[in-house]
Amino acid sequence: MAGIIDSYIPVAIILVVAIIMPFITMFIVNVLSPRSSGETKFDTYESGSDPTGEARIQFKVEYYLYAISFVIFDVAVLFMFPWSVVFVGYDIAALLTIELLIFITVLLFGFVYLWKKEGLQWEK
Amino acid sequence: MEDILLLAPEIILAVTALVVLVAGLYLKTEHKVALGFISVAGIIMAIALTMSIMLAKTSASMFYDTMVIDPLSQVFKLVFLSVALLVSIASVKYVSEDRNTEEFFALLLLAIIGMMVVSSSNDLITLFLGFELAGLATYALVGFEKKNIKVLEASMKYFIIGAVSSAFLLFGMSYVYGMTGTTNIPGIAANAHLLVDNPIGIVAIVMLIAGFGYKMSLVPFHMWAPDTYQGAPSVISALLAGASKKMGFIAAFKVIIVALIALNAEWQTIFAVLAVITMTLGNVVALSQDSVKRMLAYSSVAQAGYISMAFVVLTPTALAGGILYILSHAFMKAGAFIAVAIVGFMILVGNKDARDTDHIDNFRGLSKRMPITAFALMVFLLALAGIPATAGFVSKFVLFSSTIEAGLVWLAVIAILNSAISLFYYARVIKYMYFMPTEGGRITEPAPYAIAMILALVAVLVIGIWPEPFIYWASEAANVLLI
Amino acid sequence: MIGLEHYLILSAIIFSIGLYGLMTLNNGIRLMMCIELMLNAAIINLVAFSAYSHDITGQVFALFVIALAAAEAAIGLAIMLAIYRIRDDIELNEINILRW
Repeated sequence: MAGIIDSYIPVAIILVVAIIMPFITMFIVNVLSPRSSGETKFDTYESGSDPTGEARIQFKVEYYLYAISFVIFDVAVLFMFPWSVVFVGYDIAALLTIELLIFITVLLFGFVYLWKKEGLQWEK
Repeated sequence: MEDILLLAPEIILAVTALVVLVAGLYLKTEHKVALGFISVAGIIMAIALTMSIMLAKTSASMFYDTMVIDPLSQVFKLVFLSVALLVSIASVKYVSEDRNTEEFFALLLLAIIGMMVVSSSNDLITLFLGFELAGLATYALVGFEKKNIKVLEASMKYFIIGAVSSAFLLFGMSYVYGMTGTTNIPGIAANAHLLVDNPIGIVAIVMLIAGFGYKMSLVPFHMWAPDTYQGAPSVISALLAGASKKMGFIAAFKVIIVALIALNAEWQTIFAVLAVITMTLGNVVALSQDSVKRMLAYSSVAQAGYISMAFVVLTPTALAGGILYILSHAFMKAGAFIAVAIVGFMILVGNKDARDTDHIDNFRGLSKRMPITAFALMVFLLALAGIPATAGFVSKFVLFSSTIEAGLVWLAVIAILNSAISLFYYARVIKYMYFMPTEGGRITEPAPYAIAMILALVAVLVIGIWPEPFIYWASEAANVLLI
Repeated sequence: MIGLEHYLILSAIIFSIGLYGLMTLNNGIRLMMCIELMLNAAIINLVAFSAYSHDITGQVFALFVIALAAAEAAIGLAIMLAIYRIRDDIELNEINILRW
């Protein structure tokens, strides 16, 4: 049991630092920063131009579909990890290369499909 | 390389699916009918190859013992492929004039590949992957009419409950793997004594039964089935009831009977309770349905109760009876749903905006308007009720008599009483079709629907009149389960 | 040391949180997150068993399940999106045409 607690000492140190740091920085800012007041001070900052519209906007649900097609292809890389681990030293490199080519060909079919169905187009 | 050749049916289907998917992108909508023919050709080739492997009585294990070829796997592959053949022939009409034809056929083929992988699997990993491949493809297929809120609701219910139950299944599998130290199914069977009298063993069994029970639509896990079967396009309901449900059974046969036979004291009791409440609730609720598809869905729930009697009796004859029941139920139910699809087509021809095309009032006087469909549907319904000279009678006879032989008379009595109840609601549809007046003239069935329905009709009658070869193959398959 | 049972308890808790959320929430996206929690709890189990029994199979299983969870999320979001296009919300309690 003591072992577990010992192994968490670094975490405890970071926790303490994380709690104290904001107060220290806030205190330093309070002491050092110059102060002025005016109307523009309380405006929303939009890179110097006049602010327009609400700051809170909702993403369209379409965005998730766009994101998920990324995730699908992203996750396919997962299968290349075990593949790469056994590539060297087991004398099956030729077979593995063919297998990966088949795998990528199948993925390619999916990509062609996504492209032709305009899945990559925003605002269908 | 031998290994690859034994998987030729799956590979052919996969290649067909990819070809259909990409070819569809470059075809105009009016030419997409060709995609249906390509898929049907692919499925017929796969059936021929599967049969040749089965008749050669090949037994092999491949890919480091993660896949096996044996009579059990081949019989189930043929069930899935035959249902796929019926559904894809009927769908040539259903998806004509739809611009997403290629997705429909590609998903259909992928679903069948998933089911075939399950029936060949000898490892929890391949089994789970096949299970999910079939699941994912059917979630999308159920929601195929994406402008119709009823279809989407069916799809969403199916998806949520399906995803939850696959989480249960995986959690149960993870415990089984952890306790026995392997995912290989014979390996688990060898180490399964570690799970006996272990609380984790009980938890794992309950979670596995929950996961499989949802696909089999056993009663506490059946809530999705009526909604999904009713809301989904009728051809897809045929696929779900004919093939997807059978995949739940083969997976449960492999994991529960083969791998966890050491825990049979626990799961036999669970299945006895589930079988009784499933068949009773399914039949009683089916009595009060006005939607024919919903009635067929509840009858499908009830039939799952009969089939799971095989888990309780667990003799070679009972398992053979269960497998024979699975085979004949696939044809009866798929045929019945295709007949309902034809009626829906007829109603929509008369009135483009008709809703609830599967309401029983639409079946009034069907024998006058569409005599072939009415006759076929009558045969399917009588077969489901278990009238002699049909497939339903043979399979019920084998299953129930093996139950009595094993000394479980009470179970057989409950099952026979339930069959009697079921006759009421099947007869009601027949009464509407043959003894009720109607207006509206004779309508010719579209050829693809008619061919699919007649193929199913022939299969139901052949199994009913000449059952010996089917009983032989079912017992060959059952012998694999009880080594 | 942290033992196998700690991981099993953790995964059981995560699984239960997912199940609880599933039974109490109505929003489609939240339900998907709960399903993801349940799958990930099973993945923790697999990897923990695999690490403690020095057997690689569990980790291979976990890789497959991760890919599968992504595919499942994709299908689920597609269905939700189709519903959203028709009804403008994905509160699931409102969707109840099919009943007995």
